[in-house]
Amino acid sequence: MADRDVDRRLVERAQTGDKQAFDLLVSKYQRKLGRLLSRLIRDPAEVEDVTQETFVKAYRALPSFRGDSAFYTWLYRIGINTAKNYLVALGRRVPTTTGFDSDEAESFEDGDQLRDINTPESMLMSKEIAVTVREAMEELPDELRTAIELREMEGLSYEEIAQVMNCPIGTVRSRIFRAREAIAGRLRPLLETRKDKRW
Amino acid sequence: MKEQVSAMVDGELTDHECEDCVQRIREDRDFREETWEVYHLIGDTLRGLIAPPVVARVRAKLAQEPVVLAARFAKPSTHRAAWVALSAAASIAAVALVGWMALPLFSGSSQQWVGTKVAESQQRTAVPRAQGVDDYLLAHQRFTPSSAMSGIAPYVRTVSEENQSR
Repeated sequence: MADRDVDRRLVERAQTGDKQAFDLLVSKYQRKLGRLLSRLIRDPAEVEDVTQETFVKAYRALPSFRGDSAFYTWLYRIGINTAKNYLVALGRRVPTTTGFDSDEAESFEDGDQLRDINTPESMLMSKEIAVTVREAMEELPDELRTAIELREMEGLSYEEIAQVMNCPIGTVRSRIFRAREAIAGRLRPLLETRKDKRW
Repeated sequence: MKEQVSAMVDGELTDHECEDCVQRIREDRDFREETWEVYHLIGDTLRGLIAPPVVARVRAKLAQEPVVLAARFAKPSTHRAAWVALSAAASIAAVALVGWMALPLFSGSSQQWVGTKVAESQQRTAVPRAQGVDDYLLAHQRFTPSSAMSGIAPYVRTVSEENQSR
């Protein structure tokens, strides 16, 4: 089951009234969407507001989603329109559509986004998380670090990673899981201190 | 189960495993935060994406929204595909049948058939008639009901004859 199929499964559940399934999609795409919207809206607090509004609009529009495109591509279009309407309502200049094609939705990568999509209040927490993850990665055994890097940073499938690392797919799955758990073990206490709080 | 969530984050689960996983994540909020949310946070952080989560705000907002209910995706099923194929086959068969029936009208054999009929009719007209019949028919042709335009054609012919007589 590919990533797109997982999304479709969650959307199907949301379309039948399962709000928690939609919640999983929000968890998955909130930062990616926020990063994209930050190209249109510079104020991080406003990016948060528009991101939230985008998800609410997407939820309301779920009955019209037929699965012809990937969920994120559809969400991306709603996000861009929401951001543009937001800027128009404030009488601000709306950037031209050039550079905001939906094809870009899946591929856009931008470095140094920490500054752009964080409010001053959230900056400290974001930095702490970034440092914690980096330190945890450095402490990982080589095979675990390589596996998770190939997956998360290079976007390789388990099959491709198995070929690169010359090991069975089941081993790849296990290594990536163990890597995540090792990093999560370092992160959880940090996140616990901010539980139910906005960063 | 955590390993399954990890694989689901990567889109590497089977349908059955995915269903079990979604069920567990839905039902257990702590489990969801410890796995699904943290795993995505790790991935986003490694890709240089880190920002305050809006999921809690969205969740609060959606709690006030009415539940959406929509038709499920129209999945391409084999049953539907079979119906489409049968419909197409029936249409092609109907067109072929009409074409086959109309073919003699346009083919060489049809001209031959028409020619044969014409020859037969000419042979029939060659039968000698009783004397005076032709004159009688000519004089009374305006009253014949054989014309499809029996009400108008005789009149037109009559006027024409009158003009010619002038």
